[in-house]
Amino acid sequence: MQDTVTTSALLDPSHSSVSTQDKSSTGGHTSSTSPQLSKPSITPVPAKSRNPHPRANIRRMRRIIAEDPEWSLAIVPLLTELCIQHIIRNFQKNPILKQMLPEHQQKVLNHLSPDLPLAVTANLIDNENYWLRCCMHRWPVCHVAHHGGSWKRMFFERHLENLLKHFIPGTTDPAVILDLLPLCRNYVRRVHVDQFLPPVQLPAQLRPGDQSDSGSEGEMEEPTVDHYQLGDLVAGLSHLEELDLVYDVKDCGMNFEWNLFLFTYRDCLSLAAAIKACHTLKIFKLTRSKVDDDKARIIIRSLLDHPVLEELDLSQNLIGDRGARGAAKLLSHSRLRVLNLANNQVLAINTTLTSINLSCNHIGLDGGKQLLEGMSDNKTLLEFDLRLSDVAQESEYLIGQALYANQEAARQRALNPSHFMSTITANGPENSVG
Amino acid sequence: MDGEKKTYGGCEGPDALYVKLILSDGHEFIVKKERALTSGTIKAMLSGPGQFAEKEADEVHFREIPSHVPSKVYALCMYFMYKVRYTNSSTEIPEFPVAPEIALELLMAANFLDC
Repeated sequence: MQDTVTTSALLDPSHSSVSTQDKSSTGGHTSSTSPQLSKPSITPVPAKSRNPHPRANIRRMRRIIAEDPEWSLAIVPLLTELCIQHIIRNFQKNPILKQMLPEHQQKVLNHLSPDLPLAVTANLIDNENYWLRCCMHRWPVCHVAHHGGSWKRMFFERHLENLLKHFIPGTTDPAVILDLLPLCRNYVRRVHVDQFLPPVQLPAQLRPGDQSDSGSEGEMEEPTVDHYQLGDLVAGLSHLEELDLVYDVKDCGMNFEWNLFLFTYRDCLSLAAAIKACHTLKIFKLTRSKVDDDKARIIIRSLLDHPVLEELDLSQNLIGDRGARGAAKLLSHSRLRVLNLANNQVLAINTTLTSINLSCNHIGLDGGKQLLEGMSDNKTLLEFDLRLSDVAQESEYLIGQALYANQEAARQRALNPSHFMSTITANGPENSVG
Repeated sequence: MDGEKKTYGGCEGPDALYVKLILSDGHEFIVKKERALTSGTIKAMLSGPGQFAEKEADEVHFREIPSHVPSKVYALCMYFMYKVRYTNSSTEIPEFPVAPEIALELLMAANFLDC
């Protein structure tokens, strides 16, 4: 029996490197009994596997590692192991997976690095465990339920969203996103982008005679503030079902400027064209993007008679009554199930609408409160049918009060009282407020 | 090996030194028995209970392994030598080189031979 004490002293300087590299499947785990080695790595870490440092074999001969299914007594690894190691190491250059037996495939998948380029792995690997490791490696918090329970889908959706969020028009190469499309088109179902960066603003060149007031600056910069145009992206994703966009900039810190948040006319046109062309889109949300009436109408016009759209969310924008009218038209021309126009300017600035019928809708408590807020400034609404709309009793009562005030004012203004309906009431499900 | 004047033991008999591996297309490879026993499959074929014809003639027929990839057979033989050389040895064990183009086939063969 050779004396390993002296040799172990020689091995020490190299051991710290050995213990971190020592992750091959033939039992290269560090021992917890040896004080010089770093902490034992019990969980198999997906790293490049290679044969352990040859001089570590002496220590390996004297170790027993409990519950390590890959530890074996043999010092010389089996040829199957050697081949698998080789395949794992060279996977990038030579991706062999499907031709192997299932147990070998499983071993290779368990040890593949999550950093492999997507061009190699995207269409080859369907194993959810591998994509789970990739997701965990990249993002600390992962809610796979938001992505339909599929780790592969989650990885591609988040990766794409990340690229879109950091895309700077004019600076970033659009090929970065377009190259990803053929790899991810089968897996991405939902795109949720809550930040669109504007192009980098060069210092404005003042034309002679220009004052630097906000009007002229707005005109000069308007053509250059367009964000990433989504036409190619949406056309390239053949299974896209949900598009959730916010034209917003996060983390601007001290660089806050209002013109960072412009959803430009050109953006709007290209977005409208993109969603019109996308025949698999079921849910479309464009919120918090300062969408005004004109832009809303452009978008709504492109959604008329859309074959599959079911949910449209334009809440927290600046849509007024013209936009709302467009939305109402949309309701009758499409298969829309859910329309959300919350927190817009619909009722506040309205001066022509006299009758709204929102009965038998599930407006709910919040909707009721918002309707009430809109009603507080409204002076022309006379009829507001909210039957079976689940609006809270207090909201109904207050809306009723506002209506009554409007009706009174109208009656006072009228030259001919017969113009106005005399039995106008806002009826709640239980009580009628006169 | 060709230039040396050596006489080799035969392949017949229970204490033969060499064993003949016959692949599916008829090619025969003669390997030292001790090294061929690295492979669990070969070992089972040669030392199993009585009825195998292989046991008498020390020949092993492999119907599934073709030899059209000669480098694969060469790699297998190299592996046998590598294994025998370094098992129970205290010297440094170098890495066994695997050529990338034969990796998959070698894996299949190794899986079959259980080595």
